[in-house]
Amino acid sequence: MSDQDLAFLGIGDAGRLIRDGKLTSVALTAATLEQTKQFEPTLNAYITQTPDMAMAAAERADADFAAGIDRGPLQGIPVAVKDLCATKGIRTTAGSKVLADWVPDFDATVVRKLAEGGAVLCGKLNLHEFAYGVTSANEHYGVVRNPWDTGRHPGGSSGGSGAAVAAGMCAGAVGSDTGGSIRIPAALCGVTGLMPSYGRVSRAGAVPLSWSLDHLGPLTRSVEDAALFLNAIAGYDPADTTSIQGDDDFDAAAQLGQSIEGLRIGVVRAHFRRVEPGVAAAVEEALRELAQLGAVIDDVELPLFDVARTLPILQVEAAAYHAEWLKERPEDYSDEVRSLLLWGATISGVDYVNALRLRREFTDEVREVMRDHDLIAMPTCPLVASRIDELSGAPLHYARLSAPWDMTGQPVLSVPCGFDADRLPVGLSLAARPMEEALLCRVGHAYQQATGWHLERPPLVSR
Amino acid sequence: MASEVAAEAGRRLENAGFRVTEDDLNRISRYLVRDNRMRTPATSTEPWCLPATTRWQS
Repeated sequence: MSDQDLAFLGIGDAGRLIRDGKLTSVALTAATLEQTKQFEPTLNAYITQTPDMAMAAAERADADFAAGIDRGPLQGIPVAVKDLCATKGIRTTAGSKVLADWVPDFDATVVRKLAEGGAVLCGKLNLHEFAYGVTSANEHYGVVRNPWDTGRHPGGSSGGSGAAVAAGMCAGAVGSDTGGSIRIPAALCGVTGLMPSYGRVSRAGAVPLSWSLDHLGPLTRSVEDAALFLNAIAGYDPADTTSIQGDDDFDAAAQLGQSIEGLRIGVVRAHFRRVEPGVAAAVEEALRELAQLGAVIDDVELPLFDVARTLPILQVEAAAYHAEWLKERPEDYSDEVRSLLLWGATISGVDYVNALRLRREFTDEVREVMRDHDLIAMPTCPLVASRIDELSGAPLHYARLSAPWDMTGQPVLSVPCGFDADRLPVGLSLAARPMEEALLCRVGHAYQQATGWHLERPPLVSR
Repeated sequence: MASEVAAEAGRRLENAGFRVTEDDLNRISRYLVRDNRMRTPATSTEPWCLPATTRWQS
């Protein structure tokens, strides 16, 4: 197996080889670091790399395996985290100049859980400044580039996470999602992204964008890997007041391999309005594939989808978090993010409360539809990755189909479902009822077993 | 209309203690126009330039 093939091993496959004694974490990590050395100068996916710490962690993982200690599916697996998760002793910038010199003296809960699970941390991933944007064109740490076409955005805000996973520069990454920031880069970079139920993964120690909308979750190259990764980082945490309690037996991988025969999947036809033809065609084909697998696909309506607004809630909460820095050091923000935050500070209490009222009504509407539908399917993004050098408003539309789902608390999975005419990746999103990640992963896994889009590698790394 | 809303927003921001530049206001004005354009369903006959703050008053 070549170094590059090693770097593209999935979490599940690598774990099986390691436990069979056919692979070591040291070899796997070395291959991943070599891949990063080769492609990071082009992609700029990382803000901080930690190769020495990674090799030391890999040696510890191998020593643990040799001693019969198995901490779970991420032991010995090279991972990375979005640079808004606090890491003890490692600079944590949130992609900002404001926090450029912050070296936390504690780990975010998600980082601690990765360490406890024996994962190998390769570094901190680039993102849109303070996660407030969808391109990951970061003024302070450079533009992240899409491995499928380095002249295009990877999406965001977890753009470094999407690019690194797509290029084999880590086996899985933590991203955050407030309006689509896990799912958008997953779709545009051709990888799998899972936004878990609200409260499933603790946000303690993660720099917030919007408290009531923020989710942490994994980006990986397969649904199986996403389930394994989620299992490692999920769980009740008293340090996060929104953390889900009483689901100690949670296992996102519990239903992998089960049939999807008879499951009902709703499709909102209005979601295909103003969607690029190449995106619509790939998603329609994915729906046909799911029907072939036995799912029952039918049309549903969500009239409040276009009316319910995520943005006012996000804007006001972001402005509240940033208010003091914004007054004291406005020049340390990029023009774009400063103006977005100032705009948020102008939104009236009446508008904010009405957005919250509509959030409740929209959530009720979705709940009603999902009484007799197991999932709702849609394009993740209405368009493919846009060119970096084009001054277009296209990226503003990236979140149009993803943002409403951050309001409802449901888990949403994005899987690669094909390419447009320019061979740019397209993502299919599946939304399940709250707490039903296992069902979501069952359907996504069945789809990936039947198709194989998730196995495609970007041309940058295939040369 | 968006620029008037942005100008009013600028006054409110300064009263609240924020420093706001002309460029900030121009960007906020552009955001308001784009936001209204994006939020309007394709089937609607509603003008796209209505300020965001009027949305909930009708």
